[in-house]
Amino acid sequence: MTAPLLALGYGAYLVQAYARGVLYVYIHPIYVLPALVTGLILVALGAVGLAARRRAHDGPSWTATALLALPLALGFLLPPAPLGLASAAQRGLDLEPAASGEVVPVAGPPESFTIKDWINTFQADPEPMRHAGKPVRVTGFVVKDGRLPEGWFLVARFIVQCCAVDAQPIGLVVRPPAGASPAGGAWVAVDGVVDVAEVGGERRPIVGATTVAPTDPPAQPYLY
Amino acid sequence: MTGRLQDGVTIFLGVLIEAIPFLLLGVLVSQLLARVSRSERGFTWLPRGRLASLASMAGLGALFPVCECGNVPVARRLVTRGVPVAAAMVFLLSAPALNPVVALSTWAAFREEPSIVLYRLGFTFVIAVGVGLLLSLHPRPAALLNPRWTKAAAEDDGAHEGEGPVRRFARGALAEFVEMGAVLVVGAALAALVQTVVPRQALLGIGQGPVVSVAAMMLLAVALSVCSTVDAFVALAYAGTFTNGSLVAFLVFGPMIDIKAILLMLTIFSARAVALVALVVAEAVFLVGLGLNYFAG
Repeated sequence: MTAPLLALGYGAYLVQAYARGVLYVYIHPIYVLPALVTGLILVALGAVGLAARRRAHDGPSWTATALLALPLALGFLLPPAPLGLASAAQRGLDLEPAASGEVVPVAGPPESFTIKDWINTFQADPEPMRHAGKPVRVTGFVVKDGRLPEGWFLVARFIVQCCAVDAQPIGLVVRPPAGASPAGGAWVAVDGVVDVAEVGGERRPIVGATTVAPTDPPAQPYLY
Repeated sequence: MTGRLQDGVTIFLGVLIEAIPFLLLGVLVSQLLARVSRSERGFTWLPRGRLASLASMAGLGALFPVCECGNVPVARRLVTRGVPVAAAMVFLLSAPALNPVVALSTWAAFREEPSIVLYRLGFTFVIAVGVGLLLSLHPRPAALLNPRWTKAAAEDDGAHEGEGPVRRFARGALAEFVEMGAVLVVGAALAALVQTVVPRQALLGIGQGPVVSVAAMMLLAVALSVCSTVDAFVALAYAGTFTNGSLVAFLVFGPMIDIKAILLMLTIFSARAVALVALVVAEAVFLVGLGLNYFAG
């Protein structure tokens, strides 16, 4: 009976993760629907398998059962947590991230730009002065960095192509207003304007923040 | 819980949630093949000549546009249905990369450099068929298979004749899903471990050496174990810093040989056969990467 129960377990896990909207912590949105369909098929297979009631010797090995039970336990018992500081440090955050694909100028009002949109915008037109004064309103997590002046930080997000395994961090340099010093890893909403400053030996566009407010991680924690 | 452990769990579950739909798709196709091709005639439509039949197996991937996790159950079924062992290996090596979905995603990622798409498809074909030719010289192809699996497959085919088709389908699919799923769990755990422990900057420092960059990207392909349908986007992250030869090496090598693929291959083939194939493929891809760096500018 172990195989049908495992299938039911995986099916139930995928369906509830879909219903709670937490699949975005793990995979790119285009794979969310396939994950739900997979969950439903697994539930159906498990149900048919349970009804069939074959002899006991059909079952999988103890090793296979234990291996498959492990991620189920982790998935059901631990709260889903988007990637954070540890992965950002391991993967490395560039002060000037490389272009991913062709650089397309981003349309729309700057207030609606994500961190990724800003980085594309800065790459489409590398002269920082031409961006100075544009309003910025972005959400991300705080990364402290030794290359930045005292008290400054990067507001960062991960770019995900497929799943958490390929997540690549990107970030904007933030000069916080006096008194604001959020902890590393905290999620913040940053409001301000684009300013130009010398950082890491180069003139760069940075965010001169007027407010840095603590916030919850968004339902879709990554950018795509 | 520390942040690193937490991120490791997220990556581990991420790889699994991403791969399980493809695995299940492969298992369902395999079970369909098992029911449809019960007749003795089997795969008589394969061309007669050795090279022609191997080459046509490489083209079969176009019909199964899934990643390596989905192809292994299909390949297992092909072998039990009488497809030669060497031909099944050609299918396994080529199908993850030689299919329209992967061609499209690679092209989407490298629109600026379409030659990378052609190199990827061309060299995958050549290397897969080459390995197939090599294996087809083996005097006793059965020795290339995992002995435990051949025994189980033989018992499985005869048993449970009195069962209804739906139940038999479900039972077969469940058994296969659990067996392959357990292997996938190990692969996902290893990928997550490497991802949280090895700093990526350590790899990036060596991106411009024509020799060392190829080796580094091949190691990265093994370690990351990203599905072939999206690995082009991962490679893209290194496009600025790494040589073109090393990017092609990553794109050709990753779908053939990575942690997940090796573990899954071991459920069909003997450890010696898998080691031999991994070695030959690694050498061939390495030479391709070097050749591109030195001769294709």
